[in-house]
Amino acid sequence: MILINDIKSKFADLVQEVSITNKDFFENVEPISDACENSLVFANNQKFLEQALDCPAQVIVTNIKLKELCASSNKSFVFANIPDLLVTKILQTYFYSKKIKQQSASIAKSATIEESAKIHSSSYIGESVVIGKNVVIEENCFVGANTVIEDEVTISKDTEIHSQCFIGKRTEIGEACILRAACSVGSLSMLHFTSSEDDRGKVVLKNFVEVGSQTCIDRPTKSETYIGESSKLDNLVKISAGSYLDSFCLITAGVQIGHNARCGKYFTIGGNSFIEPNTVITDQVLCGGMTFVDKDITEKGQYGGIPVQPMKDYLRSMVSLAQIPKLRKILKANA
Amino acid sequence: MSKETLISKFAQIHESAQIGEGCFIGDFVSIEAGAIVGEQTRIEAFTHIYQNCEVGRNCYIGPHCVIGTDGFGYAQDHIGRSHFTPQIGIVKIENDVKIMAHTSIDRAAFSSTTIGKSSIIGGHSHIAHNIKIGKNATIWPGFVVAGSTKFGDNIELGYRCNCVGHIEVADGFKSESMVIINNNVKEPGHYAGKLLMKKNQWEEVAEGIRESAKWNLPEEI
Repeated sequence: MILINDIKSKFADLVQEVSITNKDFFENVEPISDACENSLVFANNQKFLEQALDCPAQVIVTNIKLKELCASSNKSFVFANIPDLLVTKILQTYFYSKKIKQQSASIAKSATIEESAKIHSSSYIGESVVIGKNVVIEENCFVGANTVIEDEVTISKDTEIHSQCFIGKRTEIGEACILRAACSVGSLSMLHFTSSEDDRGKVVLKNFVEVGSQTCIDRPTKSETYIGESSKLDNLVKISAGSYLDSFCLITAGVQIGHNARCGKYFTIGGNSFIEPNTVITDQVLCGGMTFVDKDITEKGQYGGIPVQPMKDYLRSMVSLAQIPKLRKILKANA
Repeated sequence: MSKETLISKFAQIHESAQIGEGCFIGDFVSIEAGAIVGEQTRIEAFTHIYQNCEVGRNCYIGPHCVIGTDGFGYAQDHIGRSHFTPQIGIVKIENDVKIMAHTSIDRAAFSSTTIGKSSIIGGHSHIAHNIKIGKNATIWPGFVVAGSTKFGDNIELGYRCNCVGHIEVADGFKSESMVIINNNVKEPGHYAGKLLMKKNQWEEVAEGIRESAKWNLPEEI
């Protein structure tokens, strides 16, 4: 049972106001469709708020801007300036425990570890893990079953590497990173087979990076593939060799980034998009789903389309495309 | 654990996971705590099933699939930093579902991501958190969908389709390949193209695009 007043005091920076009527607590957080009387539900726009008001849940987190719509309801409300961030904080505080990391520190008997590897005694190494020469694994790390870590890899503290992952040579992984199942970080890129240079490159993941399952980050022949602090990569993403992602980037599922591309801070891109090799994208750019970024983006803003164009132009061109049959008839009539 | 189940000696199965009768669990499969695998289900090599996820009876999960990884849920603060939203739900795969190689299905933020009975999902697909797919869906490979979308029963999606989040797609929806589903679909039918048009309308647009190279446009254009 969680009291609404506890939420107010704990997250004072996010909660603008609370309105408590007959219920001053909740027991779980549910989507509006599955809510029961003791649930807290979350509505960040008018459409969802209307649904929330009709559902059995008695506690609603919503945006302070929608306060007027709640005046006639007898439910309890928590008004926030960023409601989704408040729900995230509530979930992190009351409902989430990192189950994987509760494994006690140990090294499985079936793991194969080179003598020169240094593994901190507080870390967990799962079954059938293979660890190469001169690998350093710092405190409180978790390495899941069947993962392969090649030579000279450095893994900083509090990092989780789930099962079936591959970590290639010389990869540097920062603190508190999460690499989800079956991802491949530091694997050889195609460029190794088209260049005569020695293999000296590496992949660098800074602190708090998250890599989704089946995502692949290639290592270049020289220099490095760089993923900045707090950047998050979804599942099935492909980051080619030599790419540079600055901090706080969000890369969603199925995106492919060509080699040596550079993405600025706070870059966000929708699913199944592709970024051409050697492209440079400035800070604070947002691209929609299935975008083909074939040239540099030098101004911050929203973009979309194949090829990429500012979002307003893209939406306008989509409308024009629908008029093609009409245009065709006119041209035929005039011919 | 029931008899007649074949489990590879290289598979890692948590002691609290439940494996039904007649299952096949391939090499290097990992099944985490509390996961449930129904009878006669076949799980191929290198697949990973995260904690508390449920796979029904007579299912097929291809090699290198990942079931129940955390959804891509982040809330942005006032300066744009991303804060991970804990994903406390599960994945629920109903009976007779076939999931092909290299597919990943995210666990829900709350409640469950659901794949309906007798559905088939092609390889290299990504099913995001909170997705509900109805019965008898046929999804060809390369499908990527954002979170919280609801699909009806008997849908069929072509190769490499994309779908935005938080929408509803009607029963009986069918699409060609490379379709972007960017809005609610209330009417069943056969759709195509990147504008999500009915197939016959899109064919006219596509014909126009192909023909446009030969058009004698006015000089000012």
